[in-house]
Parts: sequence; structure tokens; C-alpha cells
Amino acid sequence: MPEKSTDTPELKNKKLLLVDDEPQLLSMLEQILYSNGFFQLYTAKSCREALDIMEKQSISLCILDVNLPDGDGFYLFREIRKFSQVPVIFLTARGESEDRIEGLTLGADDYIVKPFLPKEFLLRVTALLRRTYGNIIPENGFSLPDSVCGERRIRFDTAVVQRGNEEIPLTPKELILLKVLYGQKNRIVTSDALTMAAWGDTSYGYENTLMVHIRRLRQKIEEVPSSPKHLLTVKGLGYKLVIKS
Amino acid sequence: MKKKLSSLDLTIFKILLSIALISAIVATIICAIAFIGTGVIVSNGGDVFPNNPRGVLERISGNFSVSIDETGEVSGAVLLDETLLPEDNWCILLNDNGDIIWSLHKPEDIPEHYTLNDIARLTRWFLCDYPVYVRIEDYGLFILGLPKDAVGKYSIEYTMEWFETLPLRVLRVLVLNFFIALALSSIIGSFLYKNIRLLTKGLDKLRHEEIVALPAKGIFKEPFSNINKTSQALARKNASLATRDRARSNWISGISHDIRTPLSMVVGYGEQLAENPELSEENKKCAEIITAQGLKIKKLIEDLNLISSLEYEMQPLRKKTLHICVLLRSVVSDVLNQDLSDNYEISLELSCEKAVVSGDEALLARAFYNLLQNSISHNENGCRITISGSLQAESVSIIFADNGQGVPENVLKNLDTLPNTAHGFGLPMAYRIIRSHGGRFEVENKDGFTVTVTLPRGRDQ
Repeated sequence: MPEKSTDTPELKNKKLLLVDDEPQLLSMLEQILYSNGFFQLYTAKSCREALDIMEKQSISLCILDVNLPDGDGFYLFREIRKFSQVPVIFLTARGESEDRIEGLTLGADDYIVKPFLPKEFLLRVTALLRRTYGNIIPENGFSLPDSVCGERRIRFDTAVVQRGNEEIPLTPKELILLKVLYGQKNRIVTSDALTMAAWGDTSYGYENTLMVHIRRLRQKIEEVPSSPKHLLTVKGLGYKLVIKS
Repeated sequence: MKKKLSSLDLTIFKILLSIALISAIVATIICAIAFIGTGVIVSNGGDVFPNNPRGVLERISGNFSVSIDETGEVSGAVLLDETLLPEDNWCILLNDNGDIIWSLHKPEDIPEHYTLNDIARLTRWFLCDYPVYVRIEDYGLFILGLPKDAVGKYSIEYTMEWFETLPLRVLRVLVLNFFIALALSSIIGSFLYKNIRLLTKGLDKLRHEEIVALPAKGIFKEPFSNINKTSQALARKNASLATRDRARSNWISGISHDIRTPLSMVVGYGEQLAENPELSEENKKCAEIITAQGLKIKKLIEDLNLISSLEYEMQPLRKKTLHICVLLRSVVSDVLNQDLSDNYEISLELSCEKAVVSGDEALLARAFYNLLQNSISHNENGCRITISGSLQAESVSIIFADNGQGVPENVLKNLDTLPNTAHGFGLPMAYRIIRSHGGRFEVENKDGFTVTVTLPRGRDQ
């Protein structure tokens, strides 16, 4: 996923603290972040060093290894939480889900298991920074091509489908279904996930209801509802919203 | 287990019951034989014995010659063969007046004349302490005397009623005897039964590798203490096996932990190199391969770690109630969402919508994912995969069938041993996950490859 243009340079000005007992890994992380525009980077090899830096600097994001020479990352996290609500990503060599659960139960914002791809790491860091400090502009909707009037604009904020001057309203359930499908566009979304979002239950017993809603949605967003091009049925599984970019 | 033990109990009970019955019957037969034997012995043999006094008397009278005068008085008496009378016996002959008319070996203290009273007394009993027997002839009364103290005489009398009720009483005694024998053997048997039950219980526990502590005393001291020792040895062995398994699993998880940090750097720098504009396209390709292979190692060690903790039962199952069809649809969607080639076709035929199981969602999803991935990776040119689900009273079965070229038999045979890495971890992991959920995992090469997963049904909330 390319960097969003909504990212302001202020995000890159944030001070990040990297804590890991492996100096080579630290320098690699530094390099990854540095080459992507982050320049206020602090590194620590132990809990003590980390807490020292935290006292002196106003750190905006912490990346903590779980294994540290003087206590583990969870301990360090609790220490930090005593005086700061800074967002924290755990970095762990332990793949066991216990660690993940413990980390997330403690209130960590994210959790990355080693080994990881630098891209993924960067994505998570920027995503967390944006979530915490950026202006979140919610997805407002999307457009589908229309042979008559250029495009149909599906708007989530006003719950309508705009076609030229015409506005077709969406019901609340239809809006929920569209949002879920759009959130996983070009991927199959199971009927269960859709009914869970709209009716809070698995698809058992809701098949017909769901089918009716999908049919109505097609009438609103498809040019030829009987042979849909965007809202496709995947037999036996669910539906797929195809949007070509 | 309970059922088994009770049927075993029944067997022991049957054995003991038959032993008790047999011993009772045998005791009754012995008792009957004893009755008859006693009768024969008590009867004193009658004429069977040669020196029976009555026999002697009979022989004497048979060899006796008497001459009688015209008044009817006995005038002369002679025993033709005196050897007929044993040496220590004596014999006299009385006439009607009670006078001795003949005698042989007569002791001094025997009177010469007998009154009616004397006769009455001596006929059944003793004469001057000599045991005597009498024989009546036309010409007189023989009296045979045995030495003093040679014979004891007792008078036994029975009423006729006694004779009439004798068979009934004999029967009663036999029946009583039967029950006493039965009771005795039951008492002894129940003691044995208790011990044998302890023994079988101990063996049963041993089979389930539980700790056994039987009382090492009594007649079963030897086997009891042997079982106790075996149980202790088994416990020791299991403990050391568990320690070894734990050590092995910890070792694997330790290795997989230690490998992650260096691997992070391999993958990290690999990816950075792959995007380095200063490198030639060829070198970038190499860097990409380094990254891709690094990620492959990551997947392998994660699989290895999971499979080893499943193998040694160290993987905690986070069980919850799951709708199996929902899970299947989501796994199939995940597989299809990975840009699966159109050569593959996956269809679902689920007739178990309501079915729920109690299981670890992530692990079961992993197992199903592996099964699909197995069909895909074994059939590079594509195949059709059918997933069908059906409901039984206590379980739910899901059949994963493809129409591909199947899986080598040696892989299928070794599903339950630690996997042969040449063929990947997919199937063995799925096998272990299903087994750890108490399910069955059946594989078959038939027009492709078929796996039948049967899981116990959970209770819907």
C-alpha cells in the first residue's frame, strides 16, 4: 500500500523509541525508519536505558522487544504506563499466542512477530502514528463507473447513491453491508461476516434476508442488476465487491 | 472402563459360583458314599467272616450226631469234628431241663445247670462274663462261648417309624450337607473373590497407567506387590518420558525463538536490498529470493514449533463453541482470496448448518486451511475440491475430496509419527489438530485424495 498523501510531515517529526537487546536489529530498524523520513530516533538496549530516555525526551511512539536483559517488555510497558500514555508496539521473537494475548491485554497498540518485513513494520508504525496523532479522515464512499453519466458515487456519510442529479437513498442495513464489502473490496466476504455485521448472527436462517438486501443493493448500484458486474455472488460462500482501480 | 470392569466382575462371579456349586455337589456325593460305607462297616459283615460265632455254631450243629432214646431224652451226643470249634472258644449243649448234656473246652466257672431265668439272661448277653451265642436245635440248646472281653454287646432298638422315615431323613441330611458345602465354599470363595477383584482392578489401573497400591499381604502377597512395583516403575518411566518430551518441545521452541531475531535481519536487509536502486536487476532478484526464502524458514519453524507442541500435548486449546460451517466458509474464502488460479475449483456442500463443535478456532482453521492447501500444492495443474459436511447424532463429518493425483501412500502411513519433512507439515499438523480435538482423521486415495474429518458435536448455547 503506498503512503497516503494525507500523511503530514509532522508525523515524521515524531520522536520514536526503539528498545531491543540486539544492537544489529536496532540499527536495522533505525535504518528502515530513517530511510523513510523518520529522523528523531532513540534506541535503548535495556529497560533502564529506555526509562532514562523516556524521562528526558517526549517520545511519541515506543517499539519494545519482549526479551530484554533487565526485565521483559511487559514489565517495561507497565513502567512506562505509570507516567505516559504513549502508543506502544511490541516486537517479539516469541510466536506463541500467549505473548500476543498478554501484550494486547496490557493495552499495547500493536504486536509484531519476528521475523517481519520492513514494509510491514513501517506500515504498522505509520498507521499507529496516524491513528494517534493524525487527522483521521474516514472513508467517505467510493465510485463505480457508469456508462450513462460517468460514475455513480456511493456516499457513506449521507447514505445515498448519487447518479448525476439523482439521489437514491440507502437503508441502514444496506449501508452496513456496503461498508463491510468495501472494507474488503475485491475479496470474498462470507455471508456469515455480512449477517454478523448487519444482524449480529451467523448466516443460518438469514440467507433469504441477506439475498433480498443484496438484490436491492444491486438495483441501486449496478447498471444491469440482473447481471451484476461489481456486487458478485460467490456460490456457497458469500459476496464480493469488485472495484477496479 | 466402568463397563469393562463390571463384566470382568461378572466373569469372576460366575467362576466362583460354579466352583461353589461343584464343591457342594461333590460334598453331597461324598456324604452319600459315606452313608453307604458306614452301613456296610457297621453291619459287622454277618456271615462273611469265617470265625463268625453264628457260623461256628451252624457248622458244629451240622457235624453233630445225637442219639435219642424212646422217652425222647438225648442219650448220647458226639461232635464229629472237634476242630470246628476254635481253640479259645467253648461250647455246651443243654437239654430241655437246663442240664449240660455235652460240652467242649468248658471253663471251670461255667455252671452245670440252668434255670429259665439263666437262659433268658444268657441268650442275648453274657454267661459269667463270657460273651455267648445260642443255637436252637430239636434236641437242645447250643451255647457257644467266646473268651472274656472278646466281644462287646449293645442293644439297639428302632421303632418302625424310624425305618419308614429313614429315606426322608437321609435326604434331609444330604440337602443340609449340600447347603453347608455351598455356604462354606461361598465364604472361602468370597474371600478369594475380593482378592481377585483387587487383582483385576489393579491390572485395569495398570493398563490405564494409574498409580496402583494394593495391600501386599495374604495369599496374594506376591502378585499384589508385583503389580505395585510395576505401577511404580511405569510411573517413573512416564515421568522421565514426560521430562524428555518437555525438554524436546522446549528445545524446539527455544530454537525457533532464537532463530527469529537473526531471521528478521536476513529478511529485513534482503527486502531493502531488493529495493536498492543501485543494484542490478539480477542482484535485486537475488535479494528478493533471500527475503522469500527467509520468510519460508519463518513459516517452517512456526509449523515445527506448533507441531511439536501438539505432539507433546503442550499446546493449550482455547476452546469455544464454533459453528463449523461458518469456519469452513471463512477458510475457503481466505484460500480463494489469495488469488487462487482459476484451475482450482472449490465447492461446498454443507448440510450441517446448525452443527457446532467445541474447539480452538485458530487451530481448526489452520487444519482446514492445510487440507485445502495440501490439495492445491499436490495438484499443480489444478483440481476440483469438494467440501461436504454431514451431521450425525454425536458428531459432524467433513469430507475434503479432490479429483487430483492423490498423496503418496508412505506419507499417509506415517501421519501419526513425526513428519517426514520432505512432504511438509500440512497433513501431519492437520492430523494432530483434529486428534487433539478428540476427532477422527481418515485419509484415502480414491479418484483423488479424500480426507474425512469427524469431530464430536458440541452443545449449542
